[in-house]
Amino acid sequence: MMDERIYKYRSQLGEDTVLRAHENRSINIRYENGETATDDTASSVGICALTRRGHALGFGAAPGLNDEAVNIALKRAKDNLGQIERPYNVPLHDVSEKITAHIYDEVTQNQKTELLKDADEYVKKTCPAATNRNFSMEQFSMEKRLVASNGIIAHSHFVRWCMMIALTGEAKNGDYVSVEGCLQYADRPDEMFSSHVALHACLDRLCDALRKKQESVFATPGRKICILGEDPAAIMVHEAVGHTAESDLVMGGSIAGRYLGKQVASPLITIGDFANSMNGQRVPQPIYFDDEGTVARDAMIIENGVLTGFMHDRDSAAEYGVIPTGNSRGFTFADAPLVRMRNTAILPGKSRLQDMIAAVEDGYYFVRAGMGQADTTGEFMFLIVEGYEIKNGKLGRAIRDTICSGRAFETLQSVDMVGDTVLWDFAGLCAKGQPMITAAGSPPIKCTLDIGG
Amino acid sequence: MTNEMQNLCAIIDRFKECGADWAIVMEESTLKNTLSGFAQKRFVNQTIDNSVVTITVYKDGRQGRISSQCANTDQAKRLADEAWAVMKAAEATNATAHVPVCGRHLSRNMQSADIDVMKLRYGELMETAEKRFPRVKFRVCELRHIQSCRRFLDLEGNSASEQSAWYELSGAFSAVGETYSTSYSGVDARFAQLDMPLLDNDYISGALELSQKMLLPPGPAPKQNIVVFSPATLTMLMYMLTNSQLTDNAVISGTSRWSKMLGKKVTDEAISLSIAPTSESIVGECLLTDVGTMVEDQVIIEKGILKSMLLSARGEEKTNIPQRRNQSGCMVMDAGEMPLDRLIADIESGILVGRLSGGSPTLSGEISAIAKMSFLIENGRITRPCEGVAISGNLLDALYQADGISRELSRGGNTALPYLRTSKLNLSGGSK
Repeated sequence: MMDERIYKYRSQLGEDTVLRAHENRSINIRYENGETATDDTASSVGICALTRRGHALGFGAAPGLNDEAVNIALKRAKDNLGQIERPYNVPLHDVSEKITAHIYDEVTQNQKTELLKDADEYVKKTCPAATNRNFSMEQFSMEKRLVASNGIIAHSHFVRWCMMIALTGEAKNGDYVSVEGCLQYADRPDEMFSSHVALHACLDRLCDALRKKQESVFATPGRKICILGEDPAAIMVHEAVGHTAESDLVMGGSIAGRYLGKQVASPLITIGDFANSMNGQRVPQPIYFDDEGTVARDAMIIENGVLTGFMHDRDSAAEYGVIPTGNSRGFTFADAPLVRMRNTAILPGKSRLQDMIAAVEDGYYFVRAGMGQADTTGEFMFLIVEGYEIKNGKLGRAIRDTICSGRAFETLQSVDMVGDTVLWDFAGLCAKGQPMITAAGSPPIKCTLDIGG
Repeated sequence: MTNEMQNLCAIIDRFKECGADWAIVMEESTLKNTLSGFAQKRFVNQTIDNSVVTITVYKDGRQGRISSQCANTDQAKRLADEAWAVMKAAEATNATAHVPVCGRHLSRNMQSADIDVMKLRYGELMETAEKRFPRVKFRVCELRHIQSCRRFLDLEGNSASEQSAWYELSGAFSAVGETYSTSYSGVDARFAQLDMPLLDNDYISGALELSQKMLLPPGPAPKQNIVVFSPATLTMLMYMLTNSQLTDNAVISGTSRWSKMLGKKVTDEAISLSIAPTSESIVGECLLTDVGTMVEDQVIIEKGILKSMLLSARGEEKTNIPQRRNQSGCMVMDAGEMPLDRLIADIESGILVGRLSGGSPTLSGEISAIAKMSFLIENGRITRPCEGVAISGNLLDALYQADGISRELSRGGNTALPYLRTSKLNLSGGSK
């Protein structure tokens, strides 16, 4: 764990400055068909400073965790001031508190290898149809200490674990088909290793999905009633709603800027970007402060179908005359903070999944999305890698990979049922100039979507 | 000896003491000066330096690989111990990589950042873009100068290094109309010098012009299944295709359609594709690989014949097919003979695809995607915007018999590809 040396600079920062010590550590292991393909360990550690004076903003960073790095970062931030005029000034909110987030332990190399071996052997034994078995395990930890001239002293350190699983088998016509799944832990990573029950349950489900996909049919193109499962719904919320409500993108012309205060979704839909808890439960990636020294608070985006707000940093909050929400984050010490999502989710509704399926006469149930893209226009497209027909209220045959697309606000307006359980997805990294760890959550939703062939 | 070399020597000495079979250490330092603007309202100037040491050590078929910062020799020894511990805990495989570092010391274009010129060019870009393309709004625009230095040392004491510097422009933008904003577009370009206004570069001005044109009233969906992929779209498709068909997992497991096609025809004979970091079209690309050998251009497809794959050392060991000779993404496709206007002259109703949402091919080559930043081709001319068209079908089949390739190559500093026309994919839906 990094030491507290930067705290001593608190009284020396003078002008509006945030000093951040930041260390990322990651371990990535790919395990393919019974052997390790890659095993990479990486870390980055350094100091950065963000300084404002009048209408100018400067950022500087240097590697290492020592006094020299602090002095270089502070000097560079100050030297960069004033090179380009900024159009407005931003007051620094006055806080004086020490915020300490939760700290987790990491796991040994042997535990990781044993888990991967077990996963591979389990699939090999129980599902011979899986001719190609790929597992990738990632541990990612981020630790920050931050002091700011507004008096804030803060520390956070968390570790997240995920195992991505991809199984491939031969379909009836000789093509190869794949299914994907993910196990992820943030709150108690040791649970992943202490018992393999959750792993085996996940693998059982994926093996079953692969066997069904080997017999799969092509989806019928067109506009369809669909149950968007937790995973694709969460991706839609993140990509097609969350990004359009990031204030820097709103100012860059995203569609959300045109609809503030208007009904953009079914009254059943409420979406927020939650700082550290949702409905009284801790979220997967709790954020207590951001990299501008702002205490993090929830940013409600859509409430009962009405677009009510955006995610803000200090600059955009000043532009819109609201309180900053603490969304400004940098991925490494060398990254100036940007407005980023934290834990973005649709709040749960009251419907049970089986009742939602029973309410569809002819449509699809989409369980898992592969890659997806969205636009600042709210248009989105996802590759569905696991989905099933719904005929007369019952699940039918599995379908081949297909795309579903739509416009987020139109899709959300078509929602007439919202599931009662939220699942979170926090594997992978969000890309927006720099990567970022984020979490997205959703219950299943019943809506109308355009389906490819 | 510099501090950096002392650190590398300390690591190698540690591995000699431990009895490593092989080891290689790379130290990569960069100094970046960046002018960043967000939504043309928030500007931040940045100076960042970073230095990362990557250590790879082998013993008895085990590999340990770590990367981290390294400030002094004490830290270097600790990192060596950490890499050794990772290696000891790793699964035993046949991992080995006894390839000596090449001994070359390269230096290219080592000018420092000229901040005044960067400010001039950045301000000029914003001002000129606003005049010429008033509807286009930058979501983000960054002009960077990057100085990079990489040093290598192996267990036998062989060393190599390369130093280079370049400028980069990276922007994302969309056109904002009264009632509608277009899809975002991006532009990424590299320059050896900032010796002319950035908008004088056709690649950049063309992208901004295309974005603004997307505000024109949209046309109907195309009536013919004729697709012309823009160079940017073709780059993305070929990148995704080669990665899904020709990399370790797909080739070792034999699950991709091209996995057993080496030496055989896989595309139209008009297609020749290379990954060419040393091409004169490419700026600022590494000339040393991550293991300290000289990069080589690699022909992937030559006149339709699959000539090589994109395997790692492990892939080579498993398949006996040579591993890739660079880690670059600098894709270059040979130009065709026909100018773009002739390539599209006989199209009554097709689509020019400027960007795809989706399009990652399956192992069988199937793609499913939505056309973005795209235009109708009507009676041989590019006319109106046409978005939301779904494109599906088999990309491998489409490439096997392409309708034509343009004479024009689009050069963005790290790629050079032409337009490609095909009638083997299906279009449905659109235009929104």
